[in-house]
Amino acid sequence: MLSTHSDPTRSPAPQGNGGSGRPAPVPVKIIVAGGFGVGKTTLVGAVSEIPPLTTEAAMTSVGKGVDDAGSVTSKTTTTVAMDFGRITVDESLRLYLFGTPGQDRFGFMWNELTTGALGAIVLADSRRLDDSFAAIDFFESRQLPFIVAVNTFDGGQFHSLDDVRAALDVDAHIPVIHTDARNRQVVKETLLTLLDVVLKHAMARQGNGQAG
Amino acid sequence: MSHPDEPDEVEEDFARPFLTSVSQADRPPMHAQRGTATMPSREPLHRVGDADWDEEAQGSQDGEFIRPYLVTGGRVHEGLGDFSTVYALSAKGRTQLKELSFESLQIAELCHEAQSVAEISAHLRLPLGVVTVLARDLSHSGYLAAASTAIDPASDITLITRLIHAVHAL
Repeated sequence: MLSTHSDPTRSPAPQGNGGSGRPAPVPVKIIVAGGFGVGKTTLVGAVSEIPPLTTEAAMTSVGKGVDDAGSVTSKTTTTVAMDFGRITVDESLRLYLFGTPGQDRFGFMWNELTTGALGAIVLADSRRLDDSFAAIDFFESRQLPFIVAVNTFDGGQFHSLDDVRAALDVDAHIPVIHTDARNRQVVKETLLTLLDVVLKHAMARQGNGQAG
Repeated sequence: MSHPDEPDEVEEDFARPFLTSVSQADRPPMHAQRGTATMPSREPLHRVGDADWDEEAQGSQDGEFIRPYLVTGGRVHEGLGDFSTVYALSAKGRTQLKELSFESLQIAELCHEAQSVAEISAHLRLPLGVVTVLARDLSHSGYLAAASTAIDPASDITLITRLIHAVHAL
């Protein structure tokens, strides 16, 4: 899929000056989906080289009466906030981590959000697992590699991972792990767990490609 | 019905006080302090106009008073856009920056260092859709160069391996 950015106008007519023009780094993104207050921003901040930034988008969606506005079904514009951070891999590659609301009522934006994403971390609070269902359903249906990371709050682990796995009903090959969004080392390992899944996915795909 | 006591220029001044105040306020410093201004003030330009609307609009979110279509000349990109696209100043952008104005100038100045649409949006507090439209314009007119995007990164084993090494090294 070639992006519209590769159109010819993007390399302007050769100009003498400005020799410092290194090519801008290629971006790749990983999604961190989770309910409010589950620790997405903390997790992003634990590994990001910049303090997490917040951006907003106006999204048009069909209101389902979930919000205060009552039960009116109408087209409404919602402002969705995303927190994100970045990791520079090298001069030519940059990883962005985007934290996004994981609940069902934000599902209308996930198509756009996950286009071109490498994979996703579903950050879960084991006391509020229903916040995670919609995101898991979506990533499964899109065959986007993902893991479930149960955030540890104040050192407490409220439910065993087996219980969480059973409650979420995720496939056996999908890692369900503990994480601690405040701990850089643990978050690194969480990311590596996801990247391992992403890598296996890619290898499986290539295998299929060659076979076909 | 045009009356002699209402000349056009005055009309314009009344219609767009924020445009004139912005241009007066910004022109000298933007060029003079490029070193310090690569991260333009975190106060977005449109705050200048907020005063006009504050009273009616109080209670809604900060910094969202300007209608996005004003900034983009009527074009709207709803949604997230290509928010991870990275832009950097092109050679033309570096030498002809002063041709730009308002939000476009702010965007271009930020892109002295390569930035994603999401970063630009966060720094300037402009919605993603607005930055998507403006940055694309700047790219089409040659001031910015868009980084190429990874083609099917999820299948790119080399790329994934580089990421794994980078995260290990954090």
